[in-house]
Amino acid sequence: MRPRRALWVWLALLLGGAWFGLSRVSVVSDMAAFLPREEGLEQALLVDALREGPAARLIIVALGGSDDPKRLAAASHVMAQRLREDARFLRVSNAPASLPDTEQALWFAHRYLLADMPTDSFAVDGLRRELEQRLRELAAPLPSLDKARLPADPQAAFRRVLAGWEDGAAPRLLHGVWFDAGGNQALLLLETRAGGFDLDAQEAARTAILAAADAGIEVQLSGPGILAAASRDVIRTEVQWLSAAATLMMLAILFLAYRSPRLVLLSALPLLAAVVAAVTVTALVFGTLHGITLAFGITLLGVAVDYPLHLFSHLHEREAPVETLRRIWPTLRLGVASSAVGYLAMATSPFPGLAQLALFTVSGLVAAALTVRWVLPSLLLAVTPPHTSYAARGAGRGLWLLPLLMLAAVGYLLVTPRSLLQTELAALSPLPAEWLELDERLRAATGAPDVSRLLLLEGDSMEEVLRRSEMSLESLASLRAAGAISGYRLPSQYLPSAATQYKRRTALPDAAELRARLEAARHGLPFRAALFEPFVHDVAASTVMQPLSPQDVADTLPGQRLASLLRPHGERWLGLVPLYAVQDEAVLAQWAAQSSLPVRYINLRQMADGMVLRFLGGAGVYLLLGMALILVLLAVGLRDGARLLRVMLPVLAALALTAALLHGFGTSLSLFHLVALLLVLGLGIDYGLFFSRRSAAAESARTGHAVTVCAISTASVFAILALSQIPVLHAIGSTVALGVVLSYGFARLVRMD
Amino acid sequence: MLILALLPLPATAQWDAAQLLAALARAVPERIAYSETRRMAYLDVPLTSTGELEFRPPDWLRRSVQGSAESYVIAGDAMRIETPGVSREIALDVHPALRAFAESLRATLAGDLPRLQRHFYVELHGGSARWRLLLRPRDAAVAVIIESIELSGAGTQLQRIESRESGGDITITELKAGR
Repeated sequence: MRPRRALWVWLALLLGGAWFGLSRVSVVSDMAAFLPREEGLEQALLVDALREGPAARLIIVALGGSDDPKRLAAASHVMAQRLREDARFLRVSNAPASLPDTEQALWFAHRYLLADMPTDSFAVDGLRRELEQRLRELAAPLPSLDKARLPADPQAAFRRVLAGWEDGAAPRLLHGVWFDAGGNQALLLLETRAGGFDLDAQEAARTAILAAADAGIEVQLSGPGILAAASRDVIRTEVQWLSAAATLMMLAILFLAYRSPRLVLLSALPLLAAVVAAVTVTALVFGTLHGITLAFGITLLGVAVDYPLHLFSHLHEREAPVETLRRIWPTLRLGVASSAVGYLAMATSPFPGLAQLALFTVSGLVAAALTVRWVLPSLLLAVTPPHTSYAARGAGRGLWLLPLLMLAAVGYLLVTPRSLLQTELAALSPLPAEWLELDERLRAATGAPDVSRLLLLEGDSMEEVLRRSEMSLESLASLRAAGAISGYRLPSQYLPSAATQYKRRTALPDAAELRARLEAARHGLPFRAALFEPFVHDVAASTVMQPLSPQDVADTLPGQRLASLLRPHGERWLGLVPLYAVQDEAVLAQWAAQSSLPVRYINLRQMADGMVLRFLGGAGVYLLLGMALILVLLAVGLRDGARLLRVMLPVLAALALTAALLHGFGTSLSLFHLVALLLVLGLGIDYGLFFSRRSAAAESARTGHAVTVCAISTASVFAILALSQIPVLHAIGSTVALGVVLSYGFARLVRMD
Repeated sequence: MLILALLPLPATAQWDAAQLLAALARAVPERIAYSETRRMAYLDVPLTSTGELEFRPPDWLRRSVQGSAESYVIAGDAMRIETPGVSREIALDVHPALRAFAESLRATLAGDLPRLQRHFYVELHGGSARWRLLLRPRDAAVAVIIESIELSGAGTQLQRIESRESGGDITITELKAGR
């Protein structure tokens, strides 16, 4: 009872694998795990910045839906208040940040170590200038807001400390809160505690924001994390209805072809085994399973749906299913083996993503083939063979057409002036264009820093990074003056280095000296005698004060902003310098390259695009290598040059023509097209192998039935996928549908009678 | 009784802040000369200045100080400090005290009682011949800086503004008859 034992073993493996897959395998969606292994600093930073950087955690909220700005301002206040009580948000601002009262004392006490004052501030002339300015302010016909601080701070040093923390390009204020330029939408800036690519946390943040809005207020929101979470949602919803439609379509086609519910159900077993085996093997080898592997891999396993169909179509009354299987097994085995070696070449690639994808697909295909070989025949015993009518027409004609078509297609791809490949990561975004436009509009309205472009400072310690940040201030100011950037945020703008604080401390005069200078500066001005004693006292206290370190201020508002710009990197520290509206990238990059400081200009988008390009390049190389292996395998397996030609010519012509047609209709080929072409290759080889078998007319009709059912079902399912608005699904769907139709049509041309 | 209550009563019988402001707004001249004295706790001597107010209803107010190149314009939601060459703009909403201060004079001249009442508790003393309008900030944060503003005058003419700020500082502004 070997088949029966095989069935039990199969069932045990399937259940064990399913249990393992459902309970033990964690699916990661971290893009970094999929990209080439590069240990470089930029790579690490890219990953960090994508995941945790303050820019990635930013959410911009716009409140509209009312013509009354007062109503929107009130809604903004209410939302800010509600969200500030929510621990998910690190920062909630709807107006220029005012320092919490609890922090005022700390920062005010350290003002003489923190404020960047003119060099003569403590000389008689400098003091005189400040006193005259204060007197003008007292005389001005508007209330003096910090009048109470005047006796302790006649130079208004604290104002300089506060001004240093202000954001570069603040939006306009209306009724006390930020508004867009037109005054139509109230704006809030939020920072989540969770990283931008923690999609569940971002989704939760989004829900919290929507819940915090007053009734009747229209909420628009954007931000890297929000966009990422939204794209996942869009994909999820679309995949759900598309796969439902595709499944129904598949069931209908299979039922029409075989008129047997039982066969329709059995046809799903190899695919089921394939998915379970693929997940289990990949997770065991790599430790985790990447979300992208899962998505692409299941697409590639689509070829396994065909395996049982070949068996079903070849059944007939005078033969046991096991016998039927034995007849077609060599052909089926060669098809599976050729697909598998094609992917095995990829498994050796240094790109973790490609290697995972290859292993996933190979293990799935092998499991599907083994299921067809050992499990299905014993389940088919009581099945009535399907009625396979298939009229063979025009066999073997038009073979000469294929090389011509292929040459034309390859020629077009070689000479076309438009670039073949799509390497922009952004172009892979599944989001509708309106979302990205909204993001851009909100970003411009709030004056938020550029997400993808920044400067990077390096140092052995936080202190060294802060010192280098101070040293680059002057250059950045002149770059801004020259119009290369419209603003920047340096870590040292939140807290000067200890060295600078010591330097300022040393420069302070002692109490007697300061009193004498003040007396001289006050001469002829109406300030009361001894009014500035608190000032003299505070300066004296400052001369023995310890500088503030980033750790000292970690739980203050400016300290938190600072912490988001200082990141440990191995033994070293990195300082992030966000930039506002980069106008002249070349000047900036040149300055960074020539600077004596360890500063670098980083364009994250360019880096990411570069990685996609390298990934595509790598995939291309391994694809060619895989094809060579497939040819060798088929040559050995078939031992027949003419038949090899009949198998390969149609599929290669189909691949070339599909690529040329897609490109000709304006699509640049992306990673997804490449994956889809791989699937077409596997399917096409199967069609060629079956069509080129030498057999009697009845068997030939059965083979024709099998391949036709395979081709129609695959093409229909992927045509449904092609209906999707999501670029990824559309790309895969249209490529496979087109490729399968062409492969099938071409394979018929070379069929043997 | 109901019918009687609906009949228009003589204006004098219910003279109130709304009527006073309406009368002021009708009579407000385009330019008003002023002289100002500030007594401040920090200073030994009072600061004095003279200048001119220029008002264009409903919400544009300029204050030019004699002998100073600076002038202050309150227009819409911003205050502009104009000096030859440079002008600096502060949004009134940056600080509620600034907004309240701006409205104390601007809303009064515009005769806009609701706007005034949004920022102040308004009390009217005296009669239509000689009156005093006492403004006290509603917002606690504003009250820390401005204690009260008292506007006084005779008939339809605003003659004197006395503002009391925190720390015992007092500013008295005398307004001359307009041109």
